[in-house]
Amino acid sequence: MDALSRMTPATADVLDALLSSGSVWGLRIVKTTGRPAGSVYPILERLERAGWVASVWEDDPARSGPRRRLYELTTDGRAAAQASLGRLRSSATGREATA
Amino acid sequence: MTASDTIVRAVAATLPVHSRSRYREEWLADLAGADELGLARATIVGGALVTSATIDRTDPHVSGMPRPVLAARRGRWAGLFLGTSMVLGIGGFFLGGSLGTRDAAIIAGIGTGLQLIAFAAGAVGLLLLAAALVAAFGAAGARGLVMSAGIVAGGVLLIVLAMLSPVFGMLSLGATAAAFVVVLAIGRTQPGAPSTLPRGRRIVVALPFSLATLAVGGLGLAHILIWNPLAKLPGMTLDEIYAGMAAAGEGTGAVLIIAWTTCWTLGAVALPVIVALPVADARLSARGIAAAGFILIGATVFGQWFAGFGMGMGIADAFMTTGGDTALTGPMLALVGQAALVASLVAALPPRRLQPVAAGS
Repeated sequence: MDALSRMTPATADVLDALLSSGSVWGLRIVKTTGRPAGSVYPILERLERAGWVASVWEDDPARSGPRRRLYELTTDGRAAAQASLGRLRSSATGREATA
Repeated sequence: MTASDTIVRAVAATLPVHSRSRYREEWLADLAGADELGLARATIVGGALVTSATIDRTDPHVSGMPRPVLAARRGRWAGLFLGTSMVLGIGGFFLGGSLGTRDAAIIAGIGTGLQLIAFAAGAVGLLLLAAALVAAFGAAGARGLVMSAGIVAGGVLLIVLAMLSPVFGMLSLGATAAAFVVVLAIGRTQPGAPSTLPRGRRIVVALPFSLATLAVGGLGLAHILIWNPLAKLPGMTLDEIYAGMAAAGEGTGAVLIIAWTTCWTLGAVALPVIVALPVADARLSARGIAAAGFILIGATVFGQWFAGFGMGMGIADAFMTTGGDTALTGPMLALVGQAALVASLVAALPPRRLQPVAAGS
């Protein structure tokens, strides 16, 4: 798994959404985070390429047409996401305390 | 199908073959489910556009091949465009001569058009060369952008210099060489073996090129010995022209003409013989034979200019005319030669087509 070159607020939101769910439809992450797909799609692509996230096609015989792509944090990705978000929150708490 | 569907399909088509069907299906499913989540379809279109613009196309997960293979494939495309630029740029030198006013205007127009194509092909080739180097050195992101910008800036400088000089084609030589260096240095050009042909079919593919070489060589010979002298000295017969040259002590450059004729005749005969040799059994594809055949035709035309040089100068010195081509067959043959050399690049250089990958997993 590769380290992320940057941890933007949008990336943190996407990781947060992934941590709070199991396997989740990519578009639902757009909805959950409230960020445009123009932010979320490239972040998911980057996370998947870095090995933080794995994706599979939804297996739902009840739904016809193109299949939905489901995303899930890998084992290492989950640990790294928790650590990254933890650091972000503690630094944000530190800034608030200083202010 | 909605406009959004059409756009995301078009955007997916710009992605590498390996990733194309996966993203197309994913984005189409998202468009189909947008209403369910109360999302605007436009946001999905935007997401597709941004993903297409930012995805690292050199990453093996995206391209479906190791970086060295991707670099070599891009280098092959760069070689095709830069080589085409070189052939057409240098070919401009062989379109001149002392044609009549109307013919000269037509040939000059064609020459200008070919120079513009050479210019465009050179620019595209430089961009592809930049892409090949970025893939070769794993320079995605900012480093890749800096490297690409440097190559493109160097290319623009070349083009500006070329505009100040008629030697445009020569200036792309270095860039062409660099593209091939990338291809050769990386080495892993083509996964899988080429599709070779059985002996009988190899001969069938080679024969038209042999016949075309004989035809082009024959026309070139007639141009040097008959059509061009008659065009240079209207009103005189061939006997009078040759007698006048002999009286003035001017030669016809017969040695060069004979050597050139021997070369293309032997080449035309040798091509089907060589492709039929057992050693070619597992090596030659139809593309390889076509590339060799087109090079033979192009080289025949290229050699014709040198073979006819002595004859042209002999006439010029004996009759005080110009030494350049006067018959229209000269520039017409030059155009055939350039087309053949470009065709040889098209046959030889593009990488094998990738098969679309089903969005299975």
